[in-house]
Amino acid sequence: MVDSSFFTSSSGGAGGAFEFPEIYSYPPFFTLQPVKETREKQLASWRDLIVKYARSERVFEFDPKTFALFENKAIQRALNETARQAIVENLTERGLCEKAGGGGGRVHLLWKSLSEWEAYLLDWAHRTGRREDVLTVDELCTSGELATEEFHGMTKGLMEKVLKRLEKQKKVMLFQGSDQDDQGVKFL
Amino acid sequence: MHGLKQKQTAKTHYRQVGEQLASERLATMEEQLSKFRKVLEDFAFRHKEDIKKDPIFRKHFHEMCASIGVDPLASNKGMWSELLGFGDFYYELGVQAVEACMAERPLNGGLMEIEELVVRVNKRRGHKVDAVSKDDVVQAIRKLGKLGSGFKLLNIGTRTVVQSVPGELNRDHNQVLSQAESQGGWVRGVDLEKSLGFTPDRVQQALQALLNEGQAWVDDGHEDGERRYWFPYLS
Repeated sequence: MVDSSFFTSSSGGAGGAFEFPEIYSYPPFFTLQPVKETREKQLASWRDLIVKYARSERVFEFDPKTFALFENKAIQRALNETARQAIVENLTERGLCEKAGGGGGRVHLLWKSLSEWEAYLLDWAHRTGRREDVLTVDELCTSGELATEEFHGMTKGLMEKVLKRLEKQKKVMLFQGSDQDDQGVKFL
Repeated sequence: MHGLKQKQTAKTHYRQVGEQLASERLATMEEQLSKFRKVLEDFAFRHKEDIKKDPIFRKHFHEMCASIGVDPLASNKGMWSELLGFGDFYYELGVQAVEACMAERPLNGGLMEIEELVVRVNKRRGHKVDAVSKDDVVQAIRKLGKLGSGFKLLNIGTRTVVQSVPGELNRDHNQVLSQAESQGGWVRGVDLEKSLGFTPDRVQQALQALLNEGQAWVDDGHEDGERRYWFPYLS
């Protein structure tokens, strides 16, 4: 019998904090469905799963070709190239994904939208009295002091994307740090 | 000539006696039935609360009614529904069953196992009211079926499945589903060719129809390279 929570809630899962929904163990979930209505439902389930997973595991960026979530070893199923692309397109259409740039196929996963991140960062700077301080982008992303902030672990690429938008609004100032790779940021 | 007339008179007489007997018997039976109804009504009235609260009691009560041809659910206006409030109860249950089926339709193509439907209906009803049983939901679905709503109960293998989309599952489809049910909710074309003796074309036609109706999902990921057709409500 199909459990009543089959398509919606979570149960089981492969260790870790994140609980995978039951559909993640359903073999056909890993084959792009040929019938339109079924496929739409399938893509919606993937979208829901990816966003919840990313929020829980702090995933900010992934490569569709190698994304761990796209394979479930326990049931020996993996999505093929076409299915991966379909899922990424579906996420992109809804503003949940954006090309990471830099040529590869990597994408930023926006479980918070870019404007939500802008607001979050500004709020954080005000809340913690960081205005007028100079930080490096690297510090912002990885500093142990900031481990409880939601942007902790954000990739530099995505952080720079958000900061550049803030710079345009004259909310921050960006400048090249001493290290060639590292940018500095000052919240105004 | 006289003999013939006598014979005819006798025949008429016998017929009259026969008719009289039959009508007396009918009268007796009607009297017995009305007594029985009266008893049943008294019984229903005395056990009103039990009938409303206890699904098992309710089931027995329905069986008792059915055995004498009384349908307490038949009308919302009748004495029975006034007495027991059944009309409303099953009407409400029917609506909840329809809602639950509709909500899941995109996922299961309009087929849901009865046990799952009972769980969903009880979830919709919430904790404040007594839970309903499988029998109650079956009664509600049967009532819906009578209204020509396209709701039907199907037997697939060992399961009872509620069909909420109008349309016939033809014999081939049913056999495909039974085969899938017996092996854990999925089936391959080759399994069907072997077990049912269908030609590959016939198998494909049945599977494609089930796919188009949204009842099946395909799985191309098995290492044997054979496409599997999964039926979410059977696994």
